[in-house]
Amino acid sequence: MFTPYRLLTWMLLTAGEIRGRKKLQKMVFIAQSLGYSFTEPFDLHVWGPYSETLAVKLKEMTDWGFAREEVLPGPAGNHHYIYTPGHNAAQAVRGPEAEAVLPTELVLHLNAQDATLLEGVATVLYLRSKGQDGEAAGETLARLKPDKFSDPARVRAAGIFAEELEAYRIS
Amino acid sequence: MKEYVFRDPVHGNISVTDPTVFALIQSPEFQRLRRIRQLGTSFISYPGAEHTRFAHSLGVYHLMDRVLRHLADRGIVSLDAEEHAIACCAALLHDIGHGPFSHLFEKLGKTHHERWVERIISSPESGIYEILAGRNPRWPSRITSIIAGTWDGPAFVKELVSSQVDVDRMDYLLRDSRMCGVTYGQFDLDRLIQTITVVDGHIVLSDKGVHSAEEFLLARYFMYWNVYFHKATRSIETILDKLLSRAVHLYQSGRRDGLGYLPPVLEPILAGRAISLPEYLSLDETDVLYAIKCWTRAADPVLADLADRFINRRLFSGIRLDERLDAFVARHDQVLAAVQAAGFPEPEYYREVDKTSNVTYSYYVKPTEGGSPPIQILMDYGKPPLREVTSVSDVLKSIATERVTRHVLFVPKEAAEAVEKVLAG
Repeated sequence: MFTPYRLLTWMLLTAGEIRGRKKLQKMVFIAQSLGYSFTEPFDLHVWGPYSETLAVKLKEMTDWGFAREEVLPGPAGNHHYIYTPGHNAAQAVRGPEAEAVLPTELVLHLNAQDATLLEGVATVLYLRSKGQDGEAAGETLARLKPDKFSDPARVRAAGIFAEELEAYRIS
Repeated sequence: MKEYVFRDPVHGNISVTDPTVFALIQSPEFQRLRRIRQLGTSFISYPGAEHTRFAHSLGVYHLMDRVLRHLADRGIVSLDAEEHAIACCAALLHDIGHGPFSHLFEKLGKTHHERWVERIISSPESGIYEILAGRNPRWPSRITSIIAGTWDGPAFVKELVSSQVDVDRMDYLLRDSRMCGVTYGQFDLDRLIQTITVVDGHIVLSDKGVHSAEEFLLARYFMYWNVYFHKATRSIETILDKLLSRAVHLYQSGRRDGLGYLPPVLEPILAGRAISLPEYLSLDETDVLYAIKCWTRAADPVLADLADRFINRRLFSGIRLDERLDAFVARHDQVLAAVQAAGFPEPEYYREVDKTSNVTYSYYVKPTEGGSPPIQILMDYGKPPLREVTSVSDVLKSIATERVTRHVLFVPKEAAEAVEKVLAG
């Protein structure tokens, strides 16, 4: 019944806490790129791949009690969002069909990274999915995000991390 | 070349003078869009909602041409003739990848329509590719990059194809509104275009455009709740979803006989195998509707009943859950049992929770971490010169503060009362 929310709830239960909407979006996109069955469509926005469908789904999950959202004031008048499993999270993943196929190790590995690195990695993966090779994707990343990726070392780090993630690819 | 004029109910005359654009329109891939409705199943709620992605795509092409001319005529920014043509082709082709009843078939085919856009434009198997590459071998990849958002030319071009104030939304609001016979989606298009400008390569609105932006975003808000999330439309879409799931189940569990007639073009979808480009392009809504009509006489009683509900508009009843989500989570096994007891032995085909994330359209919400870039207004006084639209509009602040979601449980009318009792505890 709650299948559409199962994988994301599982990700939250595994991570325990995900800090930032951007980070959560990039974690889902990266997992989807590696073949895991997140189905939300993503477009390329200023902050990298972004899914409006996923943003709405996350709001629905807080309504259902599958996720809990905590909003903290940020330094520049903005807000920081922290996601943890909600009071009904166990219901979303219960039953025999709940063996969500998303490796714990991958979730923890992604969650341990800085959101900006994940933004770079997700953008590189998005560009590769559009037919750009590794080098071209790195150049495009530096051009699209000069404020964060003008340093070639950061672009390389994003490319290397994306390569490492290939070990988790399932399709 | 000779000028071709399309008489359009929204924009009046749409003129085509570029031979490449005309060849694209004439291609079988683009003509296929005549057989794909813009609003999927909304004709169930609004009898006029029979307009197609063909007409919408022409409208988007027309608006792109119009906005680019406005920017050039005002001396704001001018593209060379080649870039202008490429931008117009991207606008024309932005929806070329849509399949029948887009959202549902994306789910079945497991491929998002934007992937099909890329394949249709970039694959040598496609006539569209042949036309574009014949004009210039670089055009297919450049047009794909505008639609995918990876274009390395001026950013405002890709923003006009896809952003919070793009020509796609301008056209679909006006068109959907007119064809549905409602006024919710109407806004002052001339004024909105007049206030579009470019700052640092990005689309912004001048401060004279605040009220146009308000009208435009309120139009989206009203259309979202009144048309795109209309209860009857969501009900019939749930039925369509269920009947296609049933057809897939019968096919994949070796019960092909339960289906009766099956159009060959639907076979790869039901089999769940990878679909080739020619197979995808041969599929449109006529195939699906014919199959559903035939399935009203299917041997399988569940498929036959669901198909009959679709064809004869026997809708599921919608039960709002928003105040009762916890109750539903706790009692959903009992809900299923109540549906079964009402005469539906396979109840999973007769209950579904529909939610706002199932709707492809959205309205404006306040910019958040990682979200869509906001609409910026260029102020002619004070600092900073660029301000996010909700900071200068109290009207928009009130609708954009929080994302509103809605959950509706759909079950057959025959089961609705029993389900209500279960939810009431």
